[in-house]
Amino acid sequence: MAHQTHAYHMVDPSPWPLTGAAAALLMTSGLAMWFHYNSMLLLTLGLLIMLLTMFQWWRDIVREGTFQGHHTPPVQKGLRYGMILFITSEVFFFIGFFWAFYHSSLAPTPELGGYWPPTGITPLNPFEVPLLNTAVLLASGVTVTWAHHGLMETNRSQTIQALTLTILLGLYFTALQTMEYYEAPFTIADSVYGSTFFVATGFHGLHVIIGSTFLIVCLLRQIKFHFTSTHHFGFEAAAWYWHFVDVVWLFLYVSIYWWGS
Amino acid sequence: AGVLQAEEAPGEGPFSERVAAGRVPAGKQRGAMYYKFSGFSQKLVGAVASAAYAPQGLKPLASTESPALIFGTPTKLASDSPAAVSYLGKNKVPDLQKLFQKADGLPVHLKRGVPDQLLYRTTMALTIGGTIYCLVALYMASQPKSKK
Repeated sequence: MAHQTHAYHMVDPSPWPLTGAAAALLMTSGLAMWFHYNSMLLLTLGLLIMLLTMFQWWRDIVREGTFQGHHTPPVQKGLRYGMILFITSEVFFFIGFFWAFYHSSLAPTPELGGYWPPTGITPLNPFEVPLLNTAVLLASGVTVTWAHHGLMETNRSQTIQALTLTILLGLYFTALQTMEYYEAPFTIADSVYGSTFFVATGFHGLHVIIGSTFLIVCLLRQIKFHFTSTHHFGFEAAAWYWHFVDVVWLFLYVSIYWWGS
Repeated sequence: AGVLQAEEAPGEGPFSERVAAGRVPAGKQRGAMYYKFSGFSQKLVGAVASAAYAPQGLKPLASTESPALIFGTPTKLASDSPAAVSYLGKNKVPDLQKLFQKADGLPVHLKRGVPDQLLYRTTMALTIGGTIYCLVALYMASQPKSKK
């Protein structure tokens, strides 16, 4: 009669770290093959394996927590630490791109005309679509908090509605930003202005898509009764991530869109 | 399922007298008391029966049904309206909990049987095949003369 006499989670052996590492190998080598040998096969294969790994790994975590009961309080504490540390690492990732932006924009070189925005660049009007985008993300921060309260108060319909609204706002932001990218009068190749603009806002947009996906998964789990009013860490992690994405946008808006114009 | 009980403390007089005097805390039944494991203090602390420690998953979930209506023409509750979104599906979590806690020795990534196996085998086949292809491609790319 063997059972554990501690509250920690000794995971079953899993193949996903291996497949994930292989996916990383294939994606990086695939990039090289794409750049130099005009072949996208390795890259595509790597992306496919990465998606399969992510799906199965996170599916297993849901099984371990919700169906097998392994997410005891100390385990959940570890998960919280993990998510906070991950978000912190992402903050530093963005700090790098803001550093690059300020490095180039605070002391514009003669090649740029000694001015920021550089000569020839017509920046986007910060009070048009970018301001709408700001309102959309701020509103989504409100709706995700509303969803959280609905969850804590066991109000199923409000939780589902508020979460759905949050996701729709996130998708609306992505659609607006895509349109902005298409209509922009400058490209990534337009001096360091284009580089800093599109790399910083581009990575932010990717994070919006990741955050929206995380929220969609939470919506599906909420519909399937996975969350209880006291135990719903997956949702909290998604909400933290979403607020982080919102805050990054606010910095982008103030620095690049507003001050940088 | 994890509910702990203990005999009543000695030397405090007959149980019934203490009940009459109102000195028996809520949750105490004849000769038994309930405990739960406090995650905060990491010890057992007194609790009512319903709060006695039960691992997540074995505790009955909060009911999502509205209370039974007693009126002749049932009034429509606000939370019942367009039932389409709010009450999507039935709660299948207890059944899934039973399924995934079966003592069949299967690891969690294969616990569901055939669909899990199919997905696992596909992923592993792509991984191994892809890695071999990658190593061959890198070997060829590192050859100085032949550039494909």
